[in-house]
Amino acid sequence: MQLTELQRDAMAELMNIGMGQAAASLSEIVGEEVKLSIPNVELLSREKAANTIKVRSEERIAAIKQTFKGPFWGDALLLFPESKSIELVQSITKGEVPPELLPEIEQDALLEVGNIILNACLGSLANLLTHEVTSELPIYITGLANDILCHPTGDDNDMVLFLRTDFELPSNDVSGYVAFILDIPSLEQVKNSIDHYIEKII
Amino acid sequence: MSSNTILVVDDSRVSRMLIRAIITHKDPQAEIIEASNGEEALEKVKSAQVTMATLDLNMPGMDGLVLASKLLEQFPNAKIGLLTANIQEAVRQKADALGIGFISKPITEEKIINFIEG
Repeated sequence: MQLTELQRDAMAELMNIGMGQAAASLSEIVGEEVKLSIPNVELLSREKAANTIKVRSEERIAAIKQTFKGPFWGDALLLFPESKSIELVQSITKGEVPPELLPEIEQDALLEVGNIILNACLGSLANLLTHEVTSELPIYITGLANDILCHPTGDDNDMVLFLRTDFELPSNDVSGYVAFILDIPSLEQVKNSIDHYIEKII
Repeated sequence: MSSNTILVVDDSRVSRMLIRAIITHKDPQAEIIEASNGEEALEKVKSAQVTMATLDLNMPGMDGLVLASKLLEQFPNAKIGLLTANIQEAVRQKADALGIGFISKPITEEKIINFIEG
């Protein structure tokens, strides 16, 4: 299974647009500029995908994971170091919640922010590809990158399409990733959608 | 309009193709210079007279804002638009501060033509 240079380029650009929408939402929530990296699009195993996350950190990771379904399907993830989770919640609540209450609202706040970011990104992708994509409720999970990205039942050597953008909130020193994982059976559909998108615009 | 030299800088080839198609449709005489990053753009415009430019923000190497400030030194009268998916208010303000336009991605015919004609 291969992607042409143009398909890869179009996917990165769609991810770029989706993340732009997502960053604008996050920026409104936290009241500061969100720095974004150039999107990365790779075909690799789940294990290798997890390694790309671990390159920067051996830390435990907190993740908001949302499974989406439509003509193509997969998982959308917001990932950041678990140790930064309270800082992120502080940013979201703009210091209006007393520190002792933060752990109590932590999961709820992160799920909400994950929901906003992942849906902004997914919604934008779906609109551009003119498909309806529905997503399940987000779940909050923590663990090492492998625990989060690898399939509980599947073979971790199976190839997936991994799209990743890094984000950073400079004033809070919080950085993380937004990633999409699409299984190969879904990839053929994505390629068709991307080809259709390219044909339409050129 | 026919004497336009339009610089299109975007690391996405699909985006450059789309912008070129829209501009060519509207202004077939326009000369279009494409570049995939800021360094390549500066090299390609050395002997050109750029009248307009659309610059992506998030590219390998220098970003679109840095490129815009360099282009304005060389072409103070050029009409420059930052064309980006990063639609945060902070980014719009940085474009305003440089005196350049802001065009949000996704790219549409309407947005590009508004920029060219506006």
